[in-house]
Amino acid sequence: MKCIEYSELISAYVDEMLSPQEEEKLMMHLKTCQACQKELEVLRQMQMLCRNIEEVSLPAQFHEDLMKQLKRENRLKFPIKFKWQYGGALVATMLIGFLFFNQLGFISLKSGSSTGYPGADHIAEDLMNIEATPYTVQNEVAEARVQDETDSVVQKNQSESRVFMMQHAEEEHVWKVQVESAEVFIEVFKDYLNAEQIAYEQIEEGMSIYQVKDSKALMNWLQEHSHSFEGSEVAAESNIQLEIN
Amino acid sequence: MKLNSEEELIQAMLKGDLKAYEILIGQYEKKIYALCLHLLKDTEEAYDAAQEVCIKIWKQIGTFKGQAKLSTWIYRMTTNQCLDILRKNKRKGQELSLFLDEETGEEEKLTDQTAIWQDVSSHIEQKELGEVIRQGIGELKEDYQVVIVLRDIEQRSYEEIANILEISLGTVKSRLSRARSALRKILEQNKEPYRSFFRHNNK
Repeated sequence: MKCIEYSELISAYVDEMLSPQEEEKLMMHLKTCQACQKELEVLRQMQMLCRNIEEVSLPAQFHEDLMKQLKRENRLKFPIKFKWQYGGALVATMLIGFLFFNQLGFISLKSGSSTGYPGADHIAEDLMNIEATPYTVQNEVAEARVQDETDSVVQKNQSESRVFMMQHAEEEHVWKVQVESAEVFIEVFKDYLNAEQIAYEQIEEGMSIYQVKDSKALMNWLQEHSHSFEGSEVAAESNIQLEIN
Repeated sequence: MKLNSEEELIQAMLKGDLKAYEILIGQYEKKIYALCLHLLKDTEEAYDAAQEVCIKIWKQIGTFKGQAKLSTWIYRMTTNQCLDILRKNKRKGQELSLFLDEETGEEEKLTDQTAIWQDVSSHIEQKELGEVIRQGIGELKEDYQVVIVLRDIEQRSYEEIANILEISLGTVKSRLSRARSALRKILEQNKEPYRSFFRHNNK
């Protein structure tokens, strides 16, 4: 094909990408060149064929499969564990505080006050905004029952659990829930988990893991249902104190 | 919380908002899947590839700089994903690439140019023609497939194609021209299915 130099011009011409000068040059050539006239016609037809290719429709399951997969990945990344402690002889006081810790150690954030952890307030704010946020809490119910309920034991439990948590420390947020009656709490909480279809499992005695994606909803729920966890005695500390600024 | 613009959705996504992502991806899923299907031809492969691209968009949104359009970024990811697969398939010997470069010998094609292309606008044959040309495109080497699909099927502008493939406008022009040349040669081969569709000498 001698007209190879015009091939590119013809191709660009089909897409209206020629400058006026280029177009003029091509038109002049086409006047006398049948081969290139044919080329132009063929390219146009090819393009038309391509444009007439049936539109592709999205398979019905596509979006659902995609979101399922992503939610699964998100969940696996952010487990939430619950922990509660007993504050005295078979009596637990209710308190919700937040423990934030990383590999360096932990600090406790109660009643909206931070204890020097850089960015703690920022974390607290993000807690409210981010859907998939990691939490780690431990359930010490079994442990507390077995031993005598003394303050020292509780302290020991506390420190043990803290050590435990530190062993698993990453950039995690912790919810510490102290309840009047662990049984009552478990009952009510399990109902909530089942209703929300949140998976949970008992990993080992004293620890439960719940995978929750909407921390805010859970927090709201805990606040709303705090009265369900109270024992017969309603002490000042048995209200849920949840202050995040 | 009403999120309208793409920018707002992206900002929310950067904070981990999966719902914002869901809105955004809903606007692009079909295009992503279509591009994958046109390049990979196989529906299952296209499905998997498209899913992967969508997931990558979620995971890598942090790398989207914003100097290009989001659609360009998405098309680029999709194209690259498909090119990787095409090349991998080729190594496995699955792809039949007849025209590895544009300088191939011509045996019996183009002997009778004027008779080869019958009127292809016949309505009845549109669907089959579409299939045949898709097969023809599938016989091109990957680089040619990509530009033809992006230009003539997805109807992206030259400029968009240049951005998606990160090549110059001049390269788009020449590559497209060569791709069309190669496609024409494929369609004019004296073998099925092309013979039936493009080599009718009557009329």
